[in-house]
Amino acid sequence: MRVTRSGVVASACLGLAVLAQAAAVVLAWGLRSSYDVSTFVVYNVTLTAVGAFLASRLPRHPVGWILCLFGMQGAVTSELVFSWGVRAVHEGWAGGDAAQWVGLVSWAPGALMWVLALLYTPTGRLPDPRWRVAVVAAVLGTAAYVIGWFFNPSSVNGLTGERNHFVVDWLPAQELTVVGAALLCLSAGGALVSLVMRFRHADALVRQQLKWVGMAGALLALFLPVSIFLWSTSPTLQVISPLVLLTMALALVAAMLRYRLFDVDLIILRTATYACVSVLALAVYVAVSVVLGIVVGRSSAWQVAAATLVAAGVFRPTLRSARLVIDRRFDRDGHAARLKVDAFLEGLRSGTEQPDRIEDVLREALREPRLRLLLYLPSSDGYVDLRGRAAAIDPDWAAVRLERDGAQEAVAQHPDTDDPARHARVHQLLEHGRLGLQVARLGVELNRQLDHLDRSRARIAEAADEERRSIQRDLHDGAQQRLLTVGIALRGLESRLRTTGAHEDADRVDGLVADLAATIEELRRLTHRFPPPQLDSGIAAAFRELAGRAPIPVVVDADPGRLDRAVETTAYFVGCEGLTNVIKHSGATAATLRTVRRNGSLFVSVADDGMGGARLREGSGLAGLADRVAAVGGRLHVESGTDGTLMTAELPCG
Amino acid sequence: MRVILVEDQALLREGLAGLFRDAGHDIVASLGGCAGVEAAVRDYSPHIVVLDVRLPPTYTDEGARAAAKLKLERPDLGVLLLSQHIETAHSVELAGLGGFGYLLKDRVLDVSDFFGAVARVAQGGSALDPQVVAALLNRSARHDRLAQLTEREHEVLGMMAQGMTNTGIAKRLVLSERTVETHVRRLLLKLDIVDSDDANRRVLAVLLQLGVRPAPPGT
Repeated sequence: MRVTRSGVVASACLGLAVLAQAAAVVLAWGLRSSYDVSTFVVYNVTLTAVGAFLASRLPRHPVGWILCLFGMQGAVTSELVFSWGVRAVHEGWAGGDAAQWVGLVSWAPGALMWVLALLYTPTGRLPDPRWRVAVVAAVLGTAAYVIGWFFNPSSVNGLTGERNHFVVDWLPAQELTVVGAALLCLSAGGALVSLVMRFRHADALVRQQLKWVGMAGALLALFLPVSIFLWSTSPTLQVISPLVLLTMALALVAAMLRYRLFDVDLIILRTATYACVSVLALAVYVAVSVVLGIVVGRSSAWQVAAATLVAAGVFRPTLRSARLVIDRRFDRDGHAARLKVDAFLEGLRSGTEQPDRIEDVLREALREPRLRLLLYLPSSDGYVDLRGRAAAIDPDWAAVRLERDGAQEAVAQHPDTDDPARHARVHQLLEHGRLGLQVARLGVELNRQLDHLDRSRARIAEAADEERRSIQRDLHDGAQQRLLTVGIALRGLESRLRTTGAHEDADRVDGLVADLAATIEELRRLTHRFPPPQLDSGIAAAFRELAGRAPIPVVVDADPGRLDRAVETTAYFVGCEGLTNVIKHSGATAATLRTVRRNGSLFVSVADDGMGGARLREGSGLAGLADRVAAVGGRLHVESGTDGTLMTAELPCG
Repeated sequence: MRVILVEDQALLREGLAGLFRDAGHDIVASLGGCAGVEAAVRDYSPHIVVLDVRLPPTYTDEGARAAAKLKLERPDLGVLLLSQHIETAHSVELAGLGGFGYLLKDRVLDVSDFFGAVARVAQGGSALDPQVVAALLNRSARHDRLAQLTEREHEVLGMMAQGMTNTGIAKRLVLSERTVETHVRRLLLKLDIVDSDDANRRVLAVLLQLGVRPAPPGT
C-alpha cells in the first residue's frame, strides 16, 4: 500500500491515543472500576481508529480528522490526565486535583466533536456558508462551558463529591457555564437541523449517505433517553452507551466511504424489522413471565423456560410476516418485483415456465424493457445470451454482476448508468432470482453441448461424403479406366487372333471382353449410389440425372440455386433413397422430385402414386436417411396412404 | 480416316490408338490434353477428333468445352466426346449440329458398334449414347405425344435419337428395312415431325421433340 502523509499523521494520532490509553490503564490500575476504564479504552481507541482510517482514505474530508483528533484528545485528557489525577491523589503527588478536574470537564470537547462531525457530514463542507455561525457557536460554547465549569463554585467532582477547588471570584463562571451549555445545545440542535435540511435538498447519492447517519441517529434516539433514565441503575448501560455512540462513528464512515450505499435502504428495513420483532419478543417474554408469575407464583424455573419458549416460538413467524408487511409498505417496487420473480421460480419448479424466460421476467419486474441478461459459461470462459450466442459486455451500459465465492455467474446490463440506486435494485433482484439464473445457465450450457454434437455429427457426415467422392473418383479414374485399357488390349489381341485364323481363341477373348464390359457397367452402377459428379453443378442437375436413370417417368422440379455442399449432398441422398424406395416397394407408375427453398430451409420431397406403406421405422432404410437428415439439423417427414407416398425433408440452409 | 485422339491417360490413349489402327484408321495426332488440339486440326485436317470429357488441368469438362469450340469453328469437323459417365447436361445440344457424338468410354469394347458411330459422326451424322437417349426420353416422359407411341415405336425413336439410320435400326432389331420405315413414318406422324430425307435434320427434329435445345448459333 502507498504511504501518504495524511496516512502517516493519522497513524501517529492513533498511536498516540493507544499509548495514552495504555498509560491511563496502568495509572488507574486498582483505583477505577475496570468496566469504566475498559469502556473508555474501547470508545476512544475505536473513535481514533475510525477517524484515522477515514482521514487516510479521504484526507481532504474534515470529518475523519475531527473524529481522529477528538478521539485522541479524549484518550489524552479524559483518560490519561484523569487517571494521572486519580493516581496522584492516591499517592499524594502534586497536581492530582487539577488533573482530575481537567479530566472531568473534557467530555465537552467530545460533544463538540459530534456537532462538528454532523455539520460536515457527508459532503465535507457546510450545507451553506451561513452555517459557520453554528460552528462558531459550538466552539465558543464549548470554550465557555469548559472555562465556566472549571472555575465555577457550584461545580462538583463527580468521583469524590468534593466541591470546586479552583474557584475564581472575579469570573462570571456560572453565567459562562450556562451560556456555554446553551450555545452547545443550540449548535447540536442546529447540526441535526442541518442534516434534515441537507436530506431535503440532496440528490440521490447524498440521501443514501445520509440514510446511514439517519439509521445510527435513530438508534441513538431510541437508546440515549433510556440510558439517561437508567444510567445509575445499571452498569451495563454505562458500558453499552459508548458502544452505541460508536455506531454513529461507524455510520459516518460508511456514509463517507459510500459503503454499500444502495443496500442501505434494505439494511435499514431489515434492521427496523429485527428491532421491532425483538421488542415484540421481549414484550411477549415479559408478559408471559408476569402472567405466569401472577397465576402460578414467583420465580419458578419453568416459568422462565415457558416464557423463553413462547418468545422464541413467536420470533420467526413474526419476523417473516413483519418483513412482508414492511416490504410491502416501504419498498413497494422491490416487493412487487420480488413477487414476480417468486412466481417465475414457482413456475419453473412446477414446469410451467421456461428457464430462458428469465430475461423477460427481470425486464418486467424491473420495468426496464432494454435490460440485457448475459450468463457466464465457465466451459467457454465467456458470456452468452439466453440463446447461447456469445455476447460481450457493453461498456457503455451499466453492468450489474452476480458472483458467488468470486466466481462469475451472470451480468445484467441496463442503460441507466447515472442511477446507482437502480444498480442496487437490479443486484438484489438478481440475487433473489439466482436459482432461475442457474437453471437458465445450465439450459444454455446443455443446448450449446447439443449444438456442438450436431455440428460434429454434420462434420462426420460431410467427411463420409468426401470419402465417398474420393472413392468414386478413384474408381472412375483408376479401376474403370484400367479395365477399359485391358479390354481394348484384349480386343486388339482378338483381332490378331482372327487374322491368324485362331477363331476359337478369338471367341474366348470376345467372351472375356464381354465379361469385362459387364464388370465396368457394374462398377458404374456401384458408383451411382454415390453423389454423382453432377452434384458439382447443383442439386437440380443431379436430380435430373437421377430421374434419367429411373425406370419410371420422374418429373424433376428443382430450385436451380446453389447451396452448401453438405446440404446439397444430403438433399441428393433424400432424392436418391426416396426414389429407390419408390421403385423397389411402391409399385408406382410415376414420381416427382421437388426442391423448394422457403424460410431459410430447403424442402426436398419425393412423391409417388404407389400403394403407400412407407414408414419411418427403427432400423429401416428411411430411418437411416432420417439420421442423415438430422446430421445437418433437418427433419424427415413421411406421409403414406393408399394413393401414394410423400416424403419430405426439411434441411436448414441459412 | 484421319483421326486425332485426345486422352490424358497414356495407356488408354495407346490402346485406343491401336484399336483405331487395327480398324484401318490413321492416327495423325495423339494428345494428352486439349492444348494443341486446334493447331493439330489445322495441320492435319482430320475427319474426326475423339476427346475425353475430363482432361487436365481441372479434370472437369475441358474436353466438352474444347469440343464445343471446335464444332463452332468448324461445323463440318466430326467430334466424338468420350466420357466415363453420362451427364445429360453436357454438350447434348451439339448433337443437333450433326457431326457430333457423345458416348460412354466403354462403348469402345463393342468395336463394330463403336466404329459405326465413329463413321457416322465423321460423315456428319450423330451418335448419342443409349444412356443419354434413355435419360432424354425419361425427362420428356410426361410428354403426351410420347405416350401415344407403341413400345416398338418408342424403341425405334430411341435408336433414331442415338443417330442410327433406318438400316442400322433394322439390323439391330432384326427387322426388315421396310418395317422400320413404317414405324418411323408412324411415329413421326404421331409426334408431328415433318419427315426429311436428311438424316441429320431428322435426328435434330427428334431431339427437339425430346426437349434438347439446339446449340445457339455463332457463340
